Amino acid sequence: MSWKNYKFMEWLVKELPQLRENAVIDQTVEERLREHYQSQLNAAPPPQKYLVSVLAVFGACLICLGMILLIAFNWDMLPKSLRLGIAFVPLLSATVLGVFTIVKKKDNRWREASAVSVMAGVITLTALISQIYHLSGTLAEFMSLILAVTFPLLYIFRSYTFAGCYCFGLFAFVESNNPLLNLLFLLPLLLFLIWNLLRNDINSYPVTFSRWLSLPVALFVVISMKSDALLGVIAFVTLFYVFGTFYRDHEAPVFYDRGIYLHHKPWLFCGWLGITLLLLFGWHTLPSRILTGDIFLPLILVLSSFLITGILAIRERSDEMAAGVLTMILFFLCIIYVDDRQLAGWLCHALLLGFGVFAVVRGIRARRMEIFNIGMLQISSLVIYRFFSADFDLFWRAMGFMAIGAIFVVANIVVNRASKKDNGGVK
Amino acid sequence: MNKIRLIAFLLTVIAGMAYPVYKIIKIEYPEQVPSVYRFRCGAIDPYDPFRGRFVTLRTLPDRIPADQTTYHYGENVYATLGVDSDGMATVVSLSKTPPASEFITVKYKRHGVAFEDNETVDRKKQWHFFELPFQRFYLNEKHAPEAENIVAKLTRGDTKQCVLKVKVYADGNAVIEDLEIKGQSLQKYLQNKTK
Repeated sequence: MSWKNYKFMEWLVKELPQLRENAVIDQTVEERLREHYQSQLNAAPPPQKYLVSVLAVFGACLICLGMILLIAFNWDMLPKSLRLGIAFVPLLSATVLGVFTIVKKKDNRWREASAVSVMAGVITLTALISQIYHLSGTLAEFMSLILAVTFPLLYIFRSYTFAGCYCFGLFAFVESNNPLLNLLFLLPLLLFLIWNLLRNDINSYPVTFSRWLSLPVALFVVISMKSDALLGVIAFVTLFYVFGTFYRDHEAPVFYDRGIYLHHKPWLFCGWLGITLLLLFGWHTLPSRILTGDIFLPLILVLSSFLITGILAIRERSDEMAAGVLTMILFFLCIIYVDDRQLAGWLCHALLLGFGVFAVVRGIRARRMEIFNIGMLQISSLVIYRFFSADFDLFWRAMGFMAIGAIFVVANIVVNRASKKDNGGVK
Repeated sequence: MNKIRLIAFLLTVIAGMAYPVYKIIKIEYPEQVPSVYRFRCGAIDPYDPFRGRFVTLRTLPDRIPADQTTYHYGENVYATLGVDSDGMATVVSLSKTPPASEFITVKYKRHGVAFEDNETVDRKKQWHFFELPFQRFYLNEKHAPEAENIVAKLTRGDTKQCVLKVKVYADGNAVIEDLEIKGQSLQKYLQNKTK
């Protein structure tokens, strides 16, 4: 395996004496297992290594920010030629650092610091020129220049901090009315993310970071779509849910943990949350508002997401993925074609109930607590929403609640009995 | 591989320097000597985290009497410059193509009635509204609030007391040279005020 679960190795090494006492393994096997895993644990990078990397990058970022603020002070008491000369100093220093990093093949701390400092150098140079000559220009124009000239640093240094800064800079374009321009600036970051996400070591830090960074990128795309934002949300929720499920099913199945490992599975969590919120509230949007304006690109995005996720679900033969894709397709059709908002609401809530029940049953069958919990949360959200809804009168609402409550209690008894019988516990 | 990376990095740095160097050369070493125009202005004071404190200028004029030509909001149009009897810059006309005489590029805002005209009966007086390309005057953050107060006070009455000196180049680009308060450079005016 390319990814090493050092926590599991430590656990196994601690378990070995007990396994020998219970005659599961003999002493020879115990010694060989201990030797095998202890050597790997001894060779493991110390936790301090990651702390040092993070501190180095953080320190570089703070220095760069301080530099920018120092420049912004406006040293107008100095002669113009001196100020122009000073303007080039940060970028030239960063260039020397970058050349040193590349020539000496320095590690990722140097690469991260180099990428961030070069970006800061370009920002300070451009900002100082604007300040000295009182040049006008909006934040979007400023950031478009910075991002356009510095995007190669993503690939030259493979810097994840720079990728985060680049993503932050993208949000200067949310007011832009030119979606093609937004896409053009998004493309370098998108390709970088896809390149990282296609790596084999799917539980490594670069891949995990890329999964997290894809969330603000998706947010940027959705906000840029303005009135068609709902279509963007549908597309990304479907993609996150299906790919999140894919990653969960293909991660190193060495040790199952209870609940959701949020730091490794942001996509799955966002997918589940997105589906729940869309089905609970998304049907309020009128079809006429969705179908106005130029919806060619948003429609392509939605249909592509359905196609990609559908193909993946079929390829993986995953009923979980298929359920998610089908739910989103039905939701999409519902909000487009159902004019009666009341009826649309009922249909969407029926979809949510069905999806929630499916998750609960799936969780029970697969002995996966996280799936079971999510299903219960979805049904609970629906219940809470309907509790406060005035669609039915109080008597029928009361009957409905009591019936569902009874079902929950029975489900709990059934699950408990099944897990006791199994004697392996619920994973 | 390392060589390619190094070359790509150096090209990136050169690209980062290209725009600033281009701007410096264009402003400091123009092909033709720029003309200096004086524009009246009013102000408000905000903050830019990258470039520091600045005074936002509402440079005048911001309108001319409308003709039959139609422009779109946000469109870049060419404003032919002139000078009035007080020596202040004016805009003589707007056009979609560069005129023969001195001009600057402005952003078209709207066509319509001026707000102050709403009180009169004559709604036939239509204007073309535009925005001049010099909106900000950067200065030391300690001086910006005071500068804004001074300018706001002065421009309530006579807008000739607060004047923006602008260098206009042959290609229509314009660069702010200085902000003058009562005939004095702003820096000097603030220095004299504190003495």
